[in-house]
Amino acid sequence: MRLLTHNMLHCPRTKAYPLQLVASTCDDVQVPFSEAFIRRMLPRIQWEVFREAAAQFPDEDMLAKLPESTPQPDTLDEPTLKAIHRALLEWHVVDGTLKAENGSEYAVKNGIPNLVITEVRKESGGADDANSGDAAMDVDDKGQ
Amino acid sequence: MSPRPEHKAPATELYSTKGAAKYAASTRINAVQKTLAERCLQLLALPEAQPSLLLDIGTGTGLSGDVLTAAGHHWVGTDISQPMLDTALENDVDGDLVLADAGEGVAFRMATFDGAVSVSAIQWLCNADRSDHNPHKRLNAFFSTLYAALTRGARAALQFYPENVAQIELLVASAMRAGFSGGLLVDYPNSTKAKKYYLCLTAGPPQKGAVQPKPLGVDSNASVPVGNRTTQTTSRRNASQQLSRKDQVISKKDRRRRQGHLVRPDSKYTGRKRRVQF
Ligand SMILES: C[S@@+](CC[C@H](N)C(=O)[O-])C[C@H]1O[C@@H](n2cnc3c(N)ncnc32)[C@H](O)[C@@H]1O
Repeated sequence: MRLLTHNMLHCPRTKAYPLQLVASTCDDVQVPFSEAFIRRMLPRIQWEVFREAAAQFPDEDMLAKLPESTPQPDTLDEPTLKAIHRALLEWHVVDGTLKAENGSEYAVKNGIPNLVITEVRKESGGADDANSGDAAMDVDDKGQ
Repeated sequence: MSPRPEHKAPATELYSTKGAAKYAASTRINAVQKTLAERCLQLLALPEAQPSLLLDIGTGTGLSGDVLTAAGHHWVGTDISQPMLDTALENDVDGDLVLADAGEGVAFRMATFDGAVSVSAIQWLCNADRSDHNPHKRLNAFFSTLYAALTRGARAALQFYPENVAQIELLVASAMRAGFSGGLLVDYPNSTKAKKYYLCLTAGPPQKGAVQPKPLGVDSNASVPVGNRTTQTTSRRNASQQLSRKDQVISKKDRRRRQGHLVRPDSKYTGRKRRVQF
């Protein structure tokens, strides 16, 4: 999960925002830099939430380059834009937890936050997984 | 005709570990899904050369998302099946993945996305997979939160496989109730196999001067995409004539309803020819 995604997510139950991020494993994956995209995203970013989430990543130099408050578009230089790009799009939370104010918690596993509210459970316990999976793929174009 | 997958088992069981692997490995599925995703992207009518942030609902193994990446966009993909998303991870998709049930709503704050696509997924929302599932409620939760998560004027292009006219009505009505404008678009209406249904929606009132998207393959000379070729008809019929009488009546009633007229509810008798009464 990228910090851009984290910045946009709210609690699926209550729409409470933000979800407090506690990251236990982080990753860093290179993404081609697009100034146009970063500038486009800036007005949509909740800056405090972004800064706080970024603080979970062990990269002091990069953090120092992130503006303290919502940056003014015309004052942004390239190093700052690149730092924002890096933290927003290249940093990933691999494992961790998202905590809502109301106490709801959502796990992040293998980079994927689980926001399903009602846990999926087998109702009848009838169908066995592997077989139904098989059948699913033997369909024509209709309704895959 | 093979039974519809939504009737066999819930998506979480159907798109199990084994199912996800098979899905990802099928070249035919790959080609079809890619074409559908390209069409969805085209229907979004995004400004030229502008990298956007998009949402892909029911992203699966990431076939639809790959198309968005190829066009230079960033995307977040949601799906209810962990194995499908795991396969997407193995495929090294560029989008961010979120495990979520679209029937519980889209958990993103206001005006996040420049557009949304969905390929072969939202018909699942018409199903009650569990006793506590209510399709009406789930569709409303989906469309209202999707509406909120889109920037004003942004579009959603959602390709789906309706089971019957009632499902189309249900989806369209639910989308309209959420505030979307737009509606149904049918590509290749003359071909049983290539025929594809899309909800083509705009978050907010219809934009002034916006061109309404045109369905493909309405002209009988238009080429049907490869792999979907059926016997070509030579007649030049338009899309509405392709609808059965019942579909026509239902869509007309729907239009009247949207205009605020009092219209009798649809029943199994709707659009039937009445016998001569003695
Ligand atoms: C036919 S696959 C299409 C996947 C991908 N869009 C593609 O084109 O390859 C349908 C997908 O919808 C997902 N799906 C079904 N019900 C869903 C729900 N309620 N919420 C989110 N995803 C769902 C399934 O798990 C599956 O991955």
